[in-house]
Amino acid sequence: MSLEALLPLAILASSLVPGLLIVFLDDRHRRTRTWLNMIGATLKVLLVVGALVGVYHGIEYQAVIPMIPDYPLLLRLDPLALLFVSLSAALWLLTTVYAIAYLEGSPHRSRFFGFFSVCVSATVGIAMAGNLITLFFFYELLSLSTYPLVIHRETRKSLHAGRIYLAYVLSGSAVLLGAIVWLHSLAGPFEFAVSGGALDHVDPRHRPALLVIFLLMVGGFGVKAALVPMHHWLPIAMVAPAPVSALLHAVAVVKAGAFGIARTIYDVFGSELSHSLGGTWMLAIVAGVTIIYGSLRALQQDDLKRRLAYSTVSQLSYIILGLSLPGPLATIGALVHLVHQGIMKITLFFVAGNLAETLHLHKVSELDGVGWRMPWTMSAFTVAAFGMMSVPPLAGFISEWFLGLGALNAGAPWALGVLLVSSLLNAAYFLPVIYRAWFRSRGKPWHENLPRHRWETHTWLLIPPVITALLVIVLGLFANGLWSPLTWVRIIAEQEYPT
Amino acid sequence: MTIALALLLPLLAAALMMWRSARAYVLAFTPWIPLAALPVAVAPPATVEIDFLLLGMRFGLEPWSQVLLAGTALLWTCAGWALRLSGTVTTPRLLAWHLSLAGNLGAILAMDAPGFYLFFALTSLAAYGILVNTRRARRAGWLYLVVALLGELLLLAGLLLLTLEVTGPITAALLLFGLGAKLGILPLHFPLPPAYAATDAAGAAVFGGGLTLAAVAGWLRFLPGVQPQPELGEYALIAGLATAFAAALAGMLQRNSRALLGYSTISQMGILTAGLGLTLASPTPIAAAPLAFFAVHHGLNKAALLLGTGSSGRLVFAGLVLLSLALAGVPLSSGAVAKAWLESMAAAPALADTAHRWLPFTSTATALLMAKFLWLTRKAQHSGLQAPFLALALLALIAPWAGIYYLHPSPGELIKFGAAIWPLVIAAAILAIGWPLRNWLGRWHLPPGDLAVLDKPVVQALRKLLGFWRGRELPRLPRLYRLAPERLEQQLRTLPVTGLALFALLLAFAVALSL
Repeated sequence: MSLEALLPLAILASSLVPGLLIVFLDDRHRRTRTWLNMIGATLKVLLVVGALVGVYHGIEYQAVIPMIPDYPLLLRLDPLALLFVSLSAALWLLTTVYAIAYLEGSPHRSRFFGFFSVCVSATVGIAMAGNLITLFFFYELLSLSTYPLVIHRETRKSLHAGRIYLAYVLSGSAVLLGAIVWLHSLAGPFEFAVSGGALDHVDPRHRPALLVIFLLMVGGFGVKAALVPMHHWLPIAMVAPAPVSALLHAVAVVKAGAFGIARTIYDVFGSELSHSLGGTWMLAIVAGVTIIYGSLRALQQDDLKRRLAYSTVSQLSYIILGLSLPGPLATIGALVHLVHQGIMKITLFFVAGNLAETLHLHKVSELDGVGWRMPWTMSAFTVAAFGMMSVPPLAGFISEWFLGLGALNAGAPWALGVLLVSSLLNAAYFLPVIYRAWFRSRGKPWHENLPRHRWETHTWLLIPPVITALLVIVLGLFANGLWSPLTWVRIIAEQEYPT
Repeated sequence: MTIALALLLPLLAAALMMWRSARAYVLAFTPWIPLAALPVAVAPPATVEIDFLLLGMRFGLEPWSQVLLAGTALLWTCAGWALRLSGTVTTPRLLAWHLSLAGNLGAILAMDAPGFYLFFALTSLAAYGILVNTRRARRAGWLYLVVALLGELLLLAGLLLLTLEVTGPITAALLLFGLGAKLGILPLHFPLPPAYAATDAAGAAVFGGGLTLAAVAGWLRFLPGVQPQPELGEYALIAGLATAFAAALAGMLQRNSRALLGYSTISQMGILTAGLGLTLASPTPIAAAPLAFFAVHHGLNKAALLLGTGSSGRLVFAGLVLLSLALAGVPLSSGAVAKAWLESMAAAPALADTAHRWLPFTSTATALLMAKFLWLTRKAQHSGLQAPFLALALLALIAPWAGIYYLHPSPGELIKFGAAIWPLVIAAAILAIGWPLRNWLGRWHLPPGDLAVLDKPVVQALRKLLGFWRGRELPRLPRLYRLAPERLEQQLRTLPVTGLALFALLLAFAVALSL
């Protein structure tokens, strides 16, 4: 096996192997578990950096493992795959650090970390998948391996949430599988196209069928991407521990849905066919409705994590909206938001976790004056929330700028209107949190959950949100730099829309 | 290099606020930090490109923006001095002060659209922290923030259109209103008077001076990018003139001197909008210099007046009188020159008529408004120190002359004694007639921010609307999960079963692979 084939497998194995080992470890082996976790996570980041350099210089990494005749398991590192892989790898490392501190002393840690690693493997598998079968395989693995994490606390509430979660994602997967099988029966075996669509050889008389397949696939992926009305599972699944909400429900799972839609539009159907079929306009409208609906619902929540969950519902559809509009600018906006939203949202969830873990604060109405008790944590929150409102120079602004340009360029000024109204709504539900934290004061003593520490909370709970908040600033301020997601996304858009 | 220094110094000051021990030093240096922009303003204009920042930033100055920058730096210096002397500066407020300062300078220096948007948003959002320094200011802060955010969004839409080279009337209108939100353009004017009234003299000076200059910089930077807009220009001229008169009238019905000055800003910016309308309508490129000069004259003057509301004494009152006269355009004052220059821009005959007929009367309105202002401040007792006010008043009376000699080829043409005096004579006559009625007139009162009184009903209506819907989710998808047998799940939950099941799955997969 060549080096080019080994790298994708190594990236996959760097989390899968530690994960499987950890599942069988006893809960008491804290040190071994932590080492396995940290080595795996660090190794993955290093491998991904290597892959980024290689792909930038034009090396093609591809591993083919024969499975069903004509339908091999195909792992490929193209620029779009790497975008998602690097996001997952970087955030996995930070979340692992966070989770080790967060779950200190709680039961079932081996189960947790084992499945956590399997989830991340599934996510990078989805990212690197080179054909639909591979994508579906890892997509299913992700659905199943997240279930134990959602029900981690095993309370009535979390079991209930787990049931709803499974029902939603599995029905989505069933629809997706049907669509994939139907598509292959029409088109035969194919891989994701590097540029343009993979279905150019399909007879034009199948176009109505293709439209139905397109909608079914988008609908199947849309469950995980939490498109309205298939979004219920997301706020309910927020009963999971904070690291799970942070990495999975803000980044991996929902992003897997969005990423699946990106692959469907760009590399299966190709943007030309997708737009000429007309399915993308329907998708754009659904995304627009989701953006506004999610923001309005977020406005009504007092529970911080639920507010963030509805905000995720809304922000995810920024990506979907960008994907469904024709033209390179919208593509840039959508894909760069894939990264930016992940980093901003994970910061917010880290902070929500810190507030709950340190001071037992769960509700927005309890946050008066917390900024002065936990200044670093709340500074991170403030930065990320301003990013969500697309205030420059933060990462969210770069996304909104290109999404806005893309909307206007595609002749859809209503989409720009949706984005601007959503920014205003974002301000309406984030500013009160910031206002309470910094401009109000608390009358009574804090409910201290953790022993007093040198910092405002456990050091390892503090470092991850501070790093991601810095990233929110850096990725926006230096968006035009050589190693920014924006530059990388421009390469992808150039592939999709060659000039 | 000097540009970087001018922008980084306030940002550095803001960053230093993280260390408790550094805060006293930051406060001590607050007045001097804006002065770093002066060398940039007087140096020969140049452009700097910084490719890796944001979406590729470009900084630079033209003659008109040099004057804007110099005015901004001077006014922040004096306001900063007053802030330092005020003795009650909280940490968040000082932080907001320096962030807003950096944004203010940057908005004048930035030449690219995203860069301008960045600095404008910075100055505009950070100004909230300057404004809300007491509990009393919360409502004003809330009003300010809502309109500021709305303005930002309109501005963003306008800049996006401009980036795509769509240069029609929609783009122009979005820019006009998006930036105009800071200038009290109707109907986005209502936060200004409550904001001035709620904050202290130093904060109000920044609102009345600095923020207006940043917004004007945006108008002059980006409106030349749109095509000539005869209809929009005519609308702006008429709406601007109407605003100038209506706001002066509303100002006369105020009892708080700073709220009155808020209306004065709305009125003066109405005059500026009228001037902008004249040049928008003309087929030649927008004449930036006269508008910039008017803005600087007004910015310095208004900031000085607002600082003056924080101190008292004979010298202060004399200064306020002189400033008021200059604002009303008494002959040989910067106000008279600024208005004469605005009026001279009327090129299209139809609009020129309107402009020549009505612009002089704005001086009458201003004179009456300032008379009421002086009446309100005549017996004021404030503990604030006089020095910053006197310095800024002196600058406001003298510095514009340097600007006019720099910008205008032959400033002598603009000094028209006769044309400037008669509107003031009318004002004096009206005052003489109205004097006996002053007690009766004094009974009339308008709450600061007129439309702002609607805030509570509007919020309540919105709350009701959302409350009506509160808790109601869309109906759920069919509750399939009920079918999952509870017992199986209980078993699945235990670690060995789940782990082994997964392991078996992977094993089966591995076997399938090897086949």
